Amino acid sequence: MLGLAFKYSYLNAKVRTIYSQRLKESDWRVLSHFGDQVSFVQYLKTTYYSRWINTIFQDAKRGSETFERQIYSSLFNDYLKIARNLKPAPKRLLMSMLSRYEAENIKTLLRAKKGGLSQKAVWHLLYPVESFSRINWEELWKSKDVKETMEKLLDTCFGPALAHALPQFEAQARLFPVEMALEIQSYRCILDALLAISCKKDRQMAKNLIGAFVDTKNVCHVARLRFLYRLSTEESLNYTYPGGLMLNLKRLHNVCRATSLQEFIDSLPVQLKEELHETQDLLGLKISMEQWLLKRLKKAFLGLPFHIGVEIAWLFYKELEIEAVIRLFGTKGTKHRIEIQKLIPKALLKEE
Amino acid sequence: MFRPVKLLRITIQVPEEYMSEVLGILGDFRLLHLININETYLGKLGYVAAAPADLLNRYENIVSHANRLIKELGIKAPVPPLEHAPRPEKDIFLLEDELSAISAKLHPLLEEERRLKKQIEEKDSLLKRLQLLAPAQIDFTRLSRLMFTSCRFGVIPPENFERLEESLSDIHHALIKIQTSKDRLVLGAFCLKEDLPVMERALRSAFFNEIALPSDLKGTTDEIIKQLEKERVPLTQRLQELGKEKEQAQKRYGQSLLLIREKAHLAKLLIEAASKFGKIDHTYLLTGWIPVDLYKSLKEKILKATDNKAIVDAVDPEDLREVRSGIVKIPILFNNPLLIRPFERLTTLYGIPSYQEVEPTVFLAISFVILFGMMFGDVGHGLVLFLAGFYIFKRLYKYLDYGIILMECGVSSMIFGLLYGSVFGIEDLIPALWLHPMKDIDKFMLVSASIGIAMISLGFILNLINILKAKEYHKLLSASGLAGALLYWLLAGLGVRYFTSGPPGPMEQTIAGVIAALLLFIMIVERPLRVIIKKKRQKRKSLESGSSIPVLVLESVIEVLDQVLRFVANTVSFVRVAAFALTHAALFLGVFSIADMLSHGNKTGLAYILTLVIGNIVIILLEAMVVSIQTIRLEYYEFFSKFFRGGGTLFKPVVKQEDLEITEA
Repeated sequence: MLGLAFKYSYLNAKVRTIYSQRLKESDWRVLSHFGDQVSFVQYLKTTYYSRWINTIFQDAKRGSETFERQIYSSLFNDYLKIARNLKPAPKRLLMSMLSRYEAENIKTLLRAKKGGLSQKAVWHLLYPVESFSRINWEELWKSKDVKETMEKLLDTCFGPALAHALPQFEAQARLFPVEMALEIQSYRCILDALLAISCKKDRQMAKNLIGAFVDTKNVCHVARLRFLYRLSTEESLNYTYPGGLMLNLKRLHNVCRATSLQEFIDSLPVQLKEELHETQDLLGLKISMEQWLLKRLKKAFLGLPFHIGVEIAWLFYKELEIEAVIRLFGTKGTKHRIEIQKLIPKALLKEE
Repeated sequence: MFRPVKLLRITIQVPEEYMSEVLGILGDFRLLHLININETYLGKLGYVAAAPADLLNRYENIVSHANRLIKELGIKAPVPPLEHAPRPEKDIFLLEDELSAISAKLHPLLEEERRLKKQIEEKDSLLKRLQLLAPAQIDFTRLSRLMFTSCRFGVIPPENFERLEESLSDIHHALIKIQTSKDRLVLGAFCLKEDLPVMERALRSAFFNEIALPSDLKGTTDEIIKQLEKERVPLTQRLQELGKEKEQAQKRYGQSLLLIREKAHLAKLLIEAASKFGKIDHTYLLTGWIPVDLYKSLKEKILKATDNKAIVDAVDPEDLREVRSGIVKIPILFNNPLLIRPFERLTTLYGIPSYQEVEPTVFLAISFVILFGMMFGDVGHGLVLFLAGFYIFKRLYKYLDYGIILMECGVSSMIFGLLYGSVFGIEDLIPALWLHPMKDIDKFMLVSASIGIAMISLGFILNLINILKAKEYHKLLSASGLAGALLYWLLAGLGVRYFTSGPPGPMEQTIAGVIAALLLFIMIVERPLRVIIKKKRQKRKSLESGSSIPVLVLESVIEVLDQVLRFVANTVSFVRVAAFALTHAALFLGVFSIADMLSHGNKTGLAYILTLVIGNIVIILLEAMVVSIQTIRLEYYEFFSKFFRGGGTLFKPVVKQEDLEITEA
């Protein structure tokens, strides 16, 4: 116990300081009232995001299209700040959590290569991963096609998955299986890093939080695959992410069998169903699942504080906060007025 | 040796019909630096010849075809030297005929080899796939008779198996694990024929990669594998036989193929060079630089080949107005003996000397070798360097120059090792013929400073020669000219006097003071005076660079003082020669001390020997690098900076050896 206190007292103090600077209910109210993106960003520049978005809207080159990716620098900075003070195993876990963003960038890059687009044409779609990524992006951009890009990635953490996805890409001539392989692999990396943590308390806390996060992602992911892309049950199941907490394979299979959204929600475990009873569409499903996750994340800040859970909870919290900011930002400048409750989970709005 | 090869500027006018002959002659001579017509007045008017694209393509085809045959035959013999350069327009027919004749003779052999290799490759590939399934002992005859069941064999990531199994739980199926390794699982998947679409979807989404097998396979995996291996034997035997036939073909056609490729490549280079020629109607015009010695024979050969219809003129560069005014630079062709030639690389690294100035490579080479030896004096280490250099010289043709430099430095180190009495750091094995650096520090430092004085003086003398050659007499009075040199020698003389027979007397001091003051005065007033005279001549009101006379004087005073300080600093800088020789000895003290400690003073045993060996390796690697850097530093900053002007261009022969070597790759 004393060891854990030594290990985490400084880091927890640091994380709690950052946590106290999160967007409050009043911030959300103000942000929801702006009618245009410029005022929205101007206000956001007065919050702790200021350092990362202060160049947005300063000139023609830094417009709204850069905002969505630029704001993630703030999250990546928190990751690195926390990882610096961790032992190798938990540090590896955090870095593998970041690999999801590398996977997203690889997907964008592959799409660009397939569509014959240059780096310049898609740069606003890329996450600013330079601060932590060990992938040689310059070299990847030099590749002449998708195959060469994938071959260059074989010695990265995505290599094993890409080795199996490459023949699928060659046979089907579409990127979908490769994209799925990348996403699944990034979650597999998290799972591997999680199992490598030797401290039981840390491992348990991380497993609970990451498991809940994966459940949230899986529910939204399967719903999208089934109802948006119309994939079959067996395909949807095979494309789910590993490492869920409540949704094991059997449960996921049940979820995948659903033919309507209501049937889908009914097949979920009771704890989740309670949160989803008012859900009518995919966006509602996502917000409700985030609400469920946020409640669990907030619980990590209560009780005995000396474990990795506090750090992980904060990072997931911030990720959800950024996603909510981006959703709200997207509605600015459009004629559609959407109620804030439909875009932002209540747990972000209300301070408990 | 002290100046580049004397060149002439030649102009050749050739009627179109003789151009191929002339190109061949230029190829034979090699030592012609062509001037690109685009850089001349004629070129700017648009009288530029174009390289004949069709001919060029034909030669390119020959080169690539010959390369393909050489590669397929596996010819690795050295490229035979060409006695005569090809005549591009005439020789094309000959080369094409020769190559197609050889190609026709080699075709059946190479074609059969290709076919056999393909067959073996196909069999190997099928064997590899079947070996994955071997543990399951699958009977393909029985499998082909299945009426209601479908099956697929393939590989999936092991971690996907559980999900795949679950995803198939809604249909009747069987998944059979055949082989498992860390990153793949060989799997047989069976289901009812009606459920095949479901199974295929599930397999695809689980990243299942099917092992493709021919549909006509009969028997068990073992039987098929044995059959394939049996079928493979005669194929490999025939391939081996073909190998012997290829060896004979190599002997018969190897040299011819290499020669054809070499000739075609040279012809290609010559044709490409034609884009640097001028052309007016049906006459080609070539201009360039050629060594004086070669001019006469080149002229004779061209006139003979063109029935005296060509016009070959030569002009001494001194007579060319563009050269005098500095618009056109005369290229420099180094002219050094074999042992000095590698150091040309070091000279050109600093800058390319101009045609008019002293070519300093010989001074650099001699002083480099001496300074290196002084700082790295050890018989054993010198021998190691010599052997390393010899290895590079013999084996690594590309780095031949560095091999020679290393050998020369090794010899110098050995000589100084004898003078210091040092063999692998052991100083009591042989007697020192001159001194021990660690024991005679004062003497050694004086010698180093003396070498510095000698080298700086040489720098001054070379600068004086350059000034006189360039007829820039006013510079004689400057701090870098004669006045500066005299002052330096005066100060050096006083220094030598002090160290050899004590401080100079009052009379000597007075005379030296007066001379020094006079020289300083000359150096200071030289520039302001020159400006005043120029102003008076041109009768212009504004002064040079817009400065007034007092400002000019002040600038001169600062410049001269700076120069005098540099004299002292440059000379003292040579004391590093002694310092590095001491470091060399001191490092050995360290190594021996460690070795003694490890052997508890016994001076025997494995630890002692191992420490000495590792210590020596480290010293050789580390010090050879440091000493080289320091020597180059002394050469460039203390010596070259005194006289080197640079700004020249290198002589580029019409066909360079490097261009020819590309074909060997």
